[in-house]
This record gives sequence, C-alpha cells and structure tokens, in this order.
Amino acid sequence: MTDAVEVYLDRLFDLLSGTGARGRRALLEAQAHLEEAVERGLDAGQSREDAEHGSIARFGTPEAIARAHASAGALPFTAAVGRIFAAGWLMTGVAGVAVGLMGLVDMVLARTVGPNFVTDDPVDVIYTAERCRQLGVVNGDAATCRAASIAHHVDELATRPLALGALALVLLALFVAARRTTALRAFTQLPSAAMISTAGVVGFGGVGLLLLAYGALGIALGERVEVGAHLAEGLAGVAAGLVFLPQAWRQLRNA
Amino acid sequence: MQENPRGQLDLLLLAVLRSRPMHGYAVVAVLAERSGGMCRFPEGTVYPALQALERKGLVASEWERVDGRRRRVYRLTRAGLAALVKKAENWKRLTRGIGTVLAWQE
Repeated sequence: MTDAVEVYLDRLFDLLSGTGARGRRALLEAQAHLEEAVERGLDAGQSREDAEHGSIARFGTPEAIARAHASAGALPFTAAVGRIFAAGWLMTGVAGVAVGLMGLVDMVLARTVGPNFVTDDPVDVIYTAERCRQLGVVNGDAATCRAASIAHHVDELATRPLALGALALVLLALFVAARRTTALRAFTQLPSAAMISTAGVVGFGGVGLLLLAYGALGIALGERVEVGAHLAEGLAGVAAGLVFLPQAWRQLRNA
Repeated sequence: MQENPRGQLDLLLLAVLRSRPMHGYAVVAVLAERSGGMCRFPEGTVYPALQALERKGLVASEWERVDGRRRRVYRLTRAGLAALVKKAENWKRLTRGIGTVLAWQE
C-alpha cells in the first residue's frame, strides 16, 4: 500500500472513532476491500497510483462511508421508543425499591435512635382536641399529643414507602418475566449496558451521596431532629447506585 | 408497496448471497457482473448494508482466511431466504405494474 490508501484509512478511522467494535470491523473490511481492489488493478496492468486512486474512488468518500455506517447502525424509531420504555420500566422499578428501602431505614432509625431523629413537628404547632382525638389521644396533654403526632409521621414515612417498594418489586418481577417473553421483546430490550449502568450509578448514587452529605452536615451542625430522614433517603439512593456500579465499572474498563 | 434504494440494495445483496457465501469484495464483483454494470453505487456502502442485514438476522458472517487474506464472509440465513423471496415477489409486482402503465403509452 502507498500513501493514498493509508491516508484514506486514517481518515475513515477518525470518522469512525467512538463506534467501538462496529467501527473497528468496518475499518478492517474497508482495508481488506481496498487491498484486494488495488491488487486487481495491478494485475490488470495499472500503476500502483492509478490502482489506489481508482479503488478509493469506487469505494466512496470516507465521509459517505462513515455516514452509511452510522445510518445503518441507527435504531428504527419504534425500536428506540421501545428501549426508552424498557429503560423507564427498569429505572422506575429500581427507584421504587429504593423508596421502600428508605422507608425501612426510617423505621429502623426511629426505633433505634428515636422518632425525632427521623421526623418532627414544628415547635409552634398547636394540637387541638380534635387533632389529638384523630391521633388516638383522649384526655392527653400536649406532650402526649405531640409524641402521637410524631409517631404518626414516622408511620407515614415508613409504611407508605415500604408499600411502594413492594409494588416496585412486583414491577421488576414483571419486567424480568416480560424479558423472557418473545412477544414482548420490543418493550423489554434495554439500551446498551454501559448507558443504563452509568445512568444508574450517576443518577441514583449522585443524588444519594448529596442527601447523605446533607444529613451528615446536619449532624455536624448539632441538629438531632429530622436528620434521619435525609440519611435514609441518601442511603437508599447510594444503595440503588451500588446495584449498577459493578456493571458500569466493567463497561467503562472495557470501553 | 414501498421500494426505496436501501430496500433495493438489500434485495440485491440477498439475491447475490443466495448462490453461495462470499465476502464483501466478491459481493460487489458479482453484483457488477450480473447487472452488466447497471448497479453502480459506492462499493464501501455494501458493508454497512450487509451489517444491517446481519443485525436483522437475514445474513450471518464470520472471519475467514480467503486467498491468504482475512475476510468477513457473509451467508444467507433461513430468515434471509424468506425475506429474499418476499422482497423479490414485491419487486416483480412493482415492475409488472410499472410495465403495465408504460404499455398504455405505446
């Protein structure tokens, strides 16, 4: 090979960069094709320069070939929509389980550290007799009523997320079952593992770390009220991010 | 009925691969030979078209050593054969229809 084919392949390599195995294969096939075309030209009595230029001209410009590869690799519209749907299904399921985990952590913190660590009422709240009755306190003083109110909030913070987490587990189980069903394949094909796992780590893990930092800052500043809720949210986010971390790490290392 | 250049290239590639498995350069050569030079397009565009057919499961490919050179050899799959029959039938219907319309002009 002389310069013309080398220059052509270098240009094609630049244009195909970032396309991974597909691009590498395209480059190898282009090289083999051009080498064979040049050899045929030489066998037919052409000079090497003419054979190379003729082969390149017939092959197409690097820009046209790179565009053809890009458009051939593009997903049809319906398939792309299906993958977004599948990604949304998976991510919603994981987010729901994380919310359930948050409820569980809230419950554990309320029982071990104390309900006020998780949630509290504003200091100036007035507990009317009606409100106290709603909270199940009859003939109790304000302190009793306040404790009942906080216990009620803790219950809300724990039971509702736990219920949502249970629903999310069902959603994920349905997703796994749907992925094994050929007829539903269009709705369960996920985008690339690298994309999903990176989005999971960055999205869930990033938000989780921020909330953990927020909770830790509260503790550092001496706050002992409602800090637990932020810690629970943060822990749930980090846990969801960790689910995606091994896959994201493998994908990034092998990219 | 919809026929666009991409669809026609797919049809041509499937038709060429029906005879035997072959690599991209051979596909281009056979296409040129059988069409008497009528099917002219940038040779390099055959490869993305072949890869798109492979993603659809209509052709399969693997690296082989051909004449001492490492080449990706493509072969028609069973699904590819079925697609070829269907596309060829569509094409024949289209050309028959066009022929009928043109016959009225003569």
